[in-house]
Amino acid sequence: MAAAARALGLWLALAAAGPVAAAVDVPVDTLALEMDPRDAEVVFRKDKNDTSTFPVTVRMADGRRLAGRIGTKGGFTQGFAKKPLLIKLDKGNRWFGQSRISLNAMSVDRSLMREWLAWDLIHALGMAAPVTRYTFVTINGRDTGLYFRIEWIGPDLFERHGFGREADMYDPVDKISCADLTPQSVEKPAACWVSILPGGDNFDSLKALVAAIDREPVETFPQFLDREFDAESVINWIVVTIVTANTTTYNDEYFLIRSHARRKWFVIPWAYDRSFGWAYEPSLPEPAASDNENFQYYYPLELGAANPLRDKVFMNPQLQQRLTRRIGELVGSAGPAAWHGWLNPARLQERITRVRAAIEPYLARDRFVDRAQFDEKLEALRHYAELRGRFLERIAVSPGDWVQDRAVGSLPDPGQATHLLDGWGYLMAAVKVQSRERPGGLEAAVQRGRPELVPPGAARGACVQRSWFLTAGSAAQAEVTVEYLQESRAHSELGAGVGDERQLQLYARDARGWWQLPTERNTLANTLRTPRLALPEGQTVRLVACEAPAAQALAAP
Amino acid sequence: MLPGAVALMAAATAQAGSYMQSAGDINYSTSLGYIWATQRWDTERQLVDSGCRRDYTFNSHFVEYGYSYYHTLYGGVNLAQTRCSPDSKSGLGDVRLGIRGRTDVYQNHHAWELEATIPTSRDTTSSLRLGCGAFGLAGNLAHQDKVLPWLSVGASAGVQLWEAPLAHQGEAELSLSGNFGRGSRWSYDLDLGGRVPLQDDSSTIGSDISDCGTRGKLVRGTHRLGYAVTDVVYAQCGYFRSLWGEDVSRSQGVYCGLSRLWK
Repeated sequence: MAAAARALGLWLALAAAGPVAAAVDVPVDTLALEMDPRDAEVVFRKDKNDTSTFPVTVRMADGRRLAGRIGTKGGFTQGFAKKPLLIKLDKGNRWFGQSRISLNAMSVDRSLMREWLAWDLIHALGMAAPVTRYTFVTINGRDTGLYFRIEWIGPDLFERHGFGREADMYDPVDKISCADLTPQSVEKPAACWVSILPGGDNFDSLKALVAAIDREPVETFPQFLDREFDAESVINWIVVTIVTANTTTYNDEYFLIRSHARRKWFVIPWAYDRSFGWAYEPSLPEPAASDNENFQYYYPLELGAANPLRDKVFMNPQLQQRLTRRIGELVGSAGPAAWHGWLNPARLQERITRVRAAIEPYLARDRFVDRAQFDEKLEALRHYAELRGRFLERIAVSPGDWVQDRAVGSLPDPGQATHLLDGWGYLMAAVKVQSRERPGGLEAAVQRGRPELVPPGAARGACVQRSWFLTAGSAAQAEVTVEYLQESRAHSELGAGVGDERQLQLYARDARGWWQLPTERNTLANTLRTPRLALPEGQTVRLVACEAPAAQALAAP
Repeated sequence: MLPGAVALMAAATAQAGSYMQSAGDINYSTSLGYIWATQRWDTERQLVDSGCRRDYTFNSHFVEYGYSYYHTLYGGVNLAQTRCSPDSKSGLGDVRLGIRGRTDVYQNHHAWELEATIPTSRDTTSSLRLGCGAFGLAGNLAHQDKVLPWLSVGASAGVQLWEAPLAHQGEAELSLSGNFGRGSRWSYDLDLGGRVPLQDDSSTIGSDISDCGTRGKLVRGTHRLGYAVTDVVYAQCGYFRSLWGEDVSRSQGVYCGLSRLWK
């Protein structure tokens, strides 16, 4: 309660300190910068390995000017045109209570929402976490771009969350990804970690923690977790990772902090630009490895690198139950806690709608935004939002029959939609009914592998390597969305002969023959949608998707 | 650093990173090296004995400072011993101070350089010199581009103006450099450089193995192998050899150095 009051107090203080626009719960601040025009060009175009900083002035709404220096930050994200920025204000200067203004460019996530959503979840869970805000940056009066501002992790944050100002703080070394809390990770600790506090080569408390985790039996891990950690921060770290499918956190993207006052460790997870379905492509160099078209919403609870802290939580039934309960609260309906229902598809979609409304006025002013890309990325994010909660509910909260590749449900009322998931949580089809003769059942199934039947003239290798089957208990017309898998180059259902994924075309076969269907594609979400499909009563309609136009398929009825 | 213009100093640097330093960064390098020559090319480009084995052993110290994004300041000095048996001399070599700027404001490896040589001993006539022994001013343009993830191609050219009686000189160099694979800590550098006098009437200042201010012509090859010990510590060893010459010593040398970057 005290922490909540402190957080509220801070929020009010921040709100009073600077301009806030847009929706009340999705504020967008404006940061007006002044700098030498040449420096303003150079900071966005300089060599990414150059760490030079440049004089900058922050112009406050009341006309005051705060001097400081501006540079770029981050690793591979500096390879994008829109650079992540870090402003260090001169001693005594503070903007929104901060002497450092850290601005994530969201260049990888061109939906511009993944980080906001992830930190919204983290805040809803009540974790010790930095204050985050959308911030629109202007330089010399010229619109530059929408950024995601994130508070500098440091003693102010620790104290605000009741951990005191004195702490040890370790940050995994970027690029190496070996900070997984195994004994090996501290054999040469400087190779895997940066000791921010106490600093230098002092890794004593980290080494002691790693040894203690290694020693502790799984059976007594709940007691260990309560004794050594702010246990909720660990549970929530894992839960957030599961919800966002942020695969890089367990060995790379997190801060490990030990409060001297409370003699406990806590975790702050980090880096959500590639999350919410966006999968890493290991066969490519950065930034292509992160900026690719791979997608998934079906990573299991144990996603990401192995990590003994996480693994022992999973292995202990009591802690696993705690995890599952938290996930259930997230995917369920709204409740007393802020996180209840956060991952409920309807609520998450509504939240995305609100965020979009808040940032919409800034998109046209962002000189780096490609509107078509934004729309496509956003649709993929919505696909994830629709399915991740359902998937987790199916595999963790309310496991069903575990029947694979087949789902049975009911034809919804006209105007309503249903998502048919198999026993493993995979989408078989999403069906939005436009009309139906009467209520009835609905069955969807998937057959994986080369399609047995394709339209005349189409090559099987130029098709998605799966077929979809829909059977309605009553004649109906519906918008139908199906998906295919493309998690990586090595794990993809795109046929080897598919040259351009954007040319995939849906075909339906019913008792009368093949029909070419109007097709909307999202190559990021890997979805294919046809706005109108006739579902005859009791007959199975087969769907395939091929790139090459079929010679003899008929136009959609 | 100028391309082979002053081999002694060029060999003495062990730089890890960008040609331009980031604003506020300080890079310090130190090297130990040994250069020797037993022959020289005469004016007919025939190899003849030097008369004595000429040795030059040095310990160099070199500092670069990123004054701003646009300008890097640098300076260096050698502690050296030179010998032509039975004579030898040891002490401080020349002091060199320079400034480097960008010819392309967005690139780190497109730069100009202006360097002053300040002699600690004004000695241009001895056959045993620890430095050039005369005031000098050098200008240089350098350009390097990464053409493949593991290969950069560079070129540079410059002039050196020397206080009489040393001769003004022109220099040029081509280089291939890069890392041994993505993320490798090992790096390589192959250079081919040369110099020519810009004055026909200057006097030759003995057969010292120093390059500065002579009227000789020279082509030199250099191989360097580097290893990034950490993100800020870099080790490098090199070998260079004169490949062709006219009225100049046929020298070769080895050196190893360490550099440390403070960000």
